[in-house]
Amino acid sequence: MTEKIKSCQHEGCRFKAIALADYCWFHLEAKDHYRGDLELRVQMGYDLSGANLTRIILENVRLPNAKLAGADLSGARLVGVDLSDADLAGAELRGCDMRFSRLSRLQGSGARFEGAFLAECNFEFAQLSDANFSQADLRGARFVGASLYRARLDFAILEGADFSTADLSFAILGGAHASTACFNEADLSRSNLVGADLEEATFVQANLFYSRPGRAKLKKADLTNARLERTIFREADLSGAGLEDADLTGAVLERAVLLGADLTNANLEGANTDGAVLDEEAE
Amino acid sequence: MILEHFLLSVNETNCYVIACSDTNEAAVIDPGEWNDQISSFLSEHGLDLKLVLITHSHHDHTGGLEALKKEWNVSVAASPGGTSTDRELADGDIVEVGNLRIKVLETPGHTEDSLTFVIGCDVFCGDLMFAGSVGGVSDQESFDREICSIRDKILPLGDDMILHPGHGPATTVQLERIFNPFLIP
Repeated sequence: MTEKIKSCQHEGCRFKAIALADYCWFHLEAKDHYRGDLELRVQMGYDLSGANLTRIILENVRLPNAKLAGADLSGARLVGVDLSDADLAGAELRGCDMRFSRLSRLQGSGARFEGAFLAECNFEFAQLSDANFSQADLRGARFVGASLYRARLDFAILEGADFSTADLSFAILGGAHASTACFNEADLSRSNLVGADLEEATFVQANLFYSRPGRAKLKKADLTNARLERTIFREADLSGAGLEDADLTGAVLERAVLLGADLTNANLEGANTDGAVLDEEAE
Repeated sequence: MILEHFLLSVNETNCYVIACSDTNEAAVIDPGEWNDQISSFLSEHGLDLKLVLITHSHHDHTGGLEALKKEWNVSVAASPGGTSTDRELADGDIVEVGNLRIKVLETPGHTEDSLTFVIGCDVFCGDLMFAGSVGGVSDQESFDREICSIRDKILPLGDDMILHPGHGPATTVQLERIFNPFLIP
């Protein structure tokens, strides 16, 4: 950051001034001018690391390649923003509204998106390891090829989101609402999926080695040809799930419900099915 | 605080390095093995390893101690009785690493000597519990003690606390309180 964060110059205002201005967003008068100035500075490669951009409201603003590492954008309304290839590592984005935004190839490691509105955002090939999306609304978001290693997505809304080929190893998705989400060919090894709603989600050829979907709702989920070795499905609902050709070696299926599940050619060697509810022919 | 996680080849054990970002003093939790990856992390970040914290005495959590002690002059803090222990810890003790204050909780169950370490909102619980599960035990009495440890020591820490177990992914108190089948009455 090339300038210090100042206090808002409006008399009696307790907020900090936003970057490149003397006022907080509420007291800034030339908002249209600010938008152009911000876009131009970003285009020129101006470093906004650590900048204060809290509560700014700028729709469809173009900020590709922006340098915003450690910046504070909490409570900002940036619907339709273009932040592709931007650096938001360690940035604070709690409760911001960035629906329909372009965030592909974003560097967002350790960024905090808790409770943010991110529906239909494009995070393709973004670097989001250790990012926190707890309770964020990510309906229909695209994370194809993104790295979400050790990221937090607990209790996030992920309905219809696309995580195909993404790295979600060690990620926390417990309690997430992810029905119809796509995890095809994703790496979910050692991930935490406890209690997640994954109804009709697809995991074709996904790697769920040693992951923990205990008590998860996987009704009609498609796990065809998935690696489910040592996966802990304790008390999960897998009724009607597609497990054709799945590798369930050493998996824990204690008290899981498997009624109507397709286990054709599934490898259950060493799997624990104590108390599991299975179709009569499968038993 | 600097926090880094290492997945060990022995038994899929999680080893953690924590360090004070003000002083660069560091501690390692559960070195089930000592490998180049951990050594490189310490040197690349200029960290000064001062302490080893042991959650319990099983080999997959302590197996790297000998190699580690050849490389670093560290003290080992654990429950009383361990052969390599330099500092014996008890419930309520505070251990300092730089400006970090680590609270020690006795959490028996998986083993009699099981400890949990609390640093801010991060909880290192060893094999006491895992995402959606609890540590393996040999008898009902140990199981009851383990559940008591979780109910009396871990759940009261609050929903926002992040649990870093000895194996598998991290979880939160909130997730375990709601979904862990061993904790639902």
